[in-house]
Amino acid sequence: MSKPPDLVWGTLDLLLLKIVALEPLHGWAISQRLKHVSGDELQVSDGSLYPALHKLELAGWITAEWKTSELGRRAKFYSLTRAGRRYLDQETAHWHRLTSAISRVLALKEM
Amino acid sequence: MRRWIHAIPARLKAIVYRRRIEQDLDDELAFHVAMQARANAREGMTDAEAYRRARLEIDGVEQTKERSRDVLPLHWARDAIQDVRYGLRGLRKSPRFTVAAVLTVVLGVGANATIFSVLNPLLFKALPYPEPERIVQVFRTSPQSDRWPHSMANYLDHRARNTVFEHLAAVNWEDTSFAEPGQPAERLFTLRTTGNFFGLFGVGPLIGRTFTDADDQAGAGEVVVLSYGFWQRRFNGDPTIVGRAIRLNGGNSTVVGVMPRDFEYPLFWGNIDLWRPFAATAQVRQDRGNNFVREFGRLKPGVTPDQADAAMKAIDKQILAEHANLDRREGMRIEKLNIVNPVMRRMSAFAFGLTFLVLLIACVNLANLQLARTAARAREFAIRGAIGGGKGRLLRQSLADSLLLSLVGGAIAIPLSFWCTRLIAAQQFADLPDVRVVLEPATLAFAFGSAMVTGLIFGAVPAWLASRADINDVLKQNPQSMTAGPGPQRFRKGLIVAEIAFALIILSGAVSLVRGLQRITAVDPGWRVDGVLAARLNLVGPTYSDPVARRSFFETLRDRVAGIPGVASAAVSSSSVPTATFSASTSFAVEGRTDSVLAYNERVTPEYFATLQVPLRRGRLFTADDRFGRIPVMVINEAMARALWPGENPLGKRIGNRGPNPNWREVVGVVGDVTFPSFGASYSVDTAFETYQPLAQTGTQFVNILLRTDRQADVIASELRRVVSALDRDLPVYGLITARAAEQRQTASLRLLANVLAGFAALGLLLAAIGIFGVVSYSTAQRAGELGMRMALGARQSAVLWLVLEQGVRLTMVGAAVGLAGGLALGRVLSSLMPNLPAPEVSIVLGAFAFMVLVAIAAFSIPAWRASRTNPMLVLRHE
Repeated sequence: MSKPPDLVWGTLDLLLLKIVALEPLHGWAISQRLKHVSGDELQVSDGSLYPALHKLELAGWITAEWKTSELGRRAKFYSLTRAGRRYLDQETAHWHRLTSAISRVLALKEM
Repeated sequence: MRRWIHAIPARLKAIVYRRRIEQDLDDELAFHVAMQARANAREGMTDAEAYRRARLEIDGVEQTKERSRDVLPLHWARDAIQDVRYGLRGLRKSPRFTVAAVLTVVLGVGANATIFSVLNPLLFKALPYPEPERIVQVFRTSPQSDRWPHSMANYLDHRARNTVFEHLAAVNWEDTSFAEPGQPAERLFTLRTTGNFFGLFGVGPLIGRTFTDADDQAGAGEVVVLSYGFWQRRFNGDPTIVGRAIRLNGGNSTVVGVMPRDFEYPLFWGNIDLWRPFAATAQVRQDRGNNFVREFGRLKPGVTPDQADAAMKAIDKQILAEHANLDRREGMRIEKLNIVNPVMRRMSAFAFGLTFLVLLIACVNLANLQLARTAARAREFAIRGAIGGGKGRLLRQSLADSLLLSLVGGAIAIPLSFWCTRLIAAQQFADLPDVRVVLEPATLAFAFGSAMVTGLIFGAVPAWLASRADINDVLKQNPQSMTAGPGPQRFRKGLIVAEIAFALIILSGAVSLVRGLQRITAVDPGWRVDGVLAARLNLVGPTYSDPVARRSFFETLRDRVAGIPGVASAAVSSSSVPTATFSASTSFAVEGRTDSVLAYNERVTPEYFATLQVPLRRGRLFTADDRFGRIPVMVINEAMARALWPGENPLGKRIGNRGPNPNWREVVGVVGDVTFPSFGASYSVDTAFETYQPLAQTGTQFVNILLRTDRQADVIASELRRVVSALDRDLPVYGLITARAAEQRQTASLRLLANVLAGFAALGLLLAAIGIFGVVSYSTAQRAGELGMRMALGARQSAVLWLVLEQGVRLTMVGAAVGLAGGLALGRVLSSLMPNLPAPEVSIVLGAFAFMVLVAIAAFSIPAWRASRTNPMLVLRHE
């Protein structure tokens, strides 16, 4: 039942915010989008998706709304808030700084 | 900072719309599963399979919901409430477990809180004076005792020469007669002090002033400071009391001040009504022979007690060198001010240590019961785990159960120990009504804290062990034949062994101490205690200022008392019945020796020895002819005769005062030793040097009437009052007490300690028995299937009984062996604390061992016997 060691700690939040930033989506669609865009590299179990979404909702980064889905059933759609947008920008910048720093280190030639 | 501000609206919404969120969660996950199932179906699965896969992929719907709930604010509060609700339901469902566990908490915590409250004022409280750690007592030592008082002249030298004390004060306890015109006379407890006494203790007056050194000069006007209690009782707290003259000992004394209530500390000082300066005469100030003052010192800042001790020993050497006739064997010693003497303190600390062992047994019991219960509930837990209860959540449920038990137990234990504390305090401190022994908030916190910690630790371990069990293994097992895994099994055996060992350690510790105390107090006092009645008189005032008048008064008094029907003999003496000590000691000169000899100095009428039945060993006792104008005579005790004149005839030897004018007294008789338990630095039987002089050749202001009777004490007491008031209407008779009662008062705290210890031993045994019984009952119930099968196949009842009992016997022997070793180690500790405590007899220790084994085996036997009597068919059908 344990999660595969697939995601850098804390990056699931970033991914979810980015996906929701593109357009409001319900949970299942987010799960599909995650699988689709990241291929098999990033595996997020559906079981950990919802607690993560709810945490973001409580933090005020995303907000949820019940709307009718494409199949005519009511579903909970998540969208980014303004605070969430600021947070995402800030974290994205931070991510770039971090990864480029790490890349620079890894690019060093061994003697 | 900014981050949580964004979170506020969402969190508020989550709290307010709690129910809707739960609904949303349901709908959202249902939607997800439906969508996923649809996707799965499109890949060619059957509907049922598609749904099953969808639920699996989301890691279980209920599990995911639970984790989503954990994200919500205040989820812990909701969980806690739920835990408590489940916990209560569970406890109601297993009443036997609940009662055993609660009882354990009540006994363990209650005993600790009670003992803590009773010992608290003795052990952990400092005296209520500023910087009490700087206050010390200075004692004179000799081969006989290390707590002697000092002479006034020596005190003055100590005070003048020392550089270590900010103040060095002297005190002496006295009785004062207080008689206002037209009112019956009353005896007041008085502390005579030097002028610096109040300064030393650092407490100012409530009203008026305290003493100055000028008040302490001979011939200064008589002044007194009243205690708060006396001021309230006799003067209704009159605020204009300062400056008023009151009648003390037949003269006028001016009240200069009243001390605040907290200054009295009856636990240490006894009851004090008023303080008077010594105002000693020049003669008293130069006297090195009469040792009657106690010294208290306040160390200068930065001076340690050890430094002061060394300094005072040096001063003592100087004084000994300057005065050839002082006893060379005397010394000096400093002791930090404690409420009780060091021996009682150590014994109390020891008793307190034993309470922790009792608490430890209680903890082990709880753990054991909890372990048995968690094992029994392993299936319940497994099922709850399977349907979505997280491991952490189940662990927490166990903790909640334990805490509930602790809370309930604590809630019962605290009022109970409150009541016990009052009961013990009322008994122990009956003579000191002002002593406040109360269950303090700190004690409450201690008791509750220990209950909580007990619950937490001993709930967590079993729960943790249970949580390690694999859910599938547990579910596959038959619920009836299921036993706990090897881990908990071993743990439980260890607990039983520990329990037996602890109980035996307490038992042997208590038995050793109680037996030791018994042997000390059972020492032959050298006189017959039963049938003796004592009372005190204070012959002061103009009527008795003439020594001749005093003498004729007490002789008349003695004759009248002896004439009371039923009184076999009556005597007058300077000390009361010798249950603790004689009231005075003197450094005597001995003819033919250069050094002086410190000995008790008792003055008695001839009938004294017959009344107390102190046996004559050599020579003669006093007669009516031993009076002023005849040869001064003295009777000494055997120990003194042996030490001063080994192998010689002591009769005819002469003992006198030190100094140029010895006034030799001839030793005319040797009597048996009067002994009493001594509370020195070590607990020993004190056989000091004892001298007796005829009262008719000396005289005394405070006299005691001693009489021997076989009639009821209270009948004789009222006769005695009548006789005295016929002689002098204004003379109060006080301190009426039988010698037996006086002796028991002396040993009250010892007896209390012995009772407490015996109580602990019983409690420890009871707890251990409860624990063993509970656990074995449980484990035999677990093995019912196996046992039933054996019996069905033809095993005899006795074989089944032995099967169960065998393990019990093994565990008992291991536990008892460990306990015996621990008990012996404890005995070592005890004898290092109290070197003079008689070591317990081997038979006593072995007896404790045997008793413990018996109790443990009995606790094992009952459930074993019950198991052997079960009907095999019933059990097998149950399978």
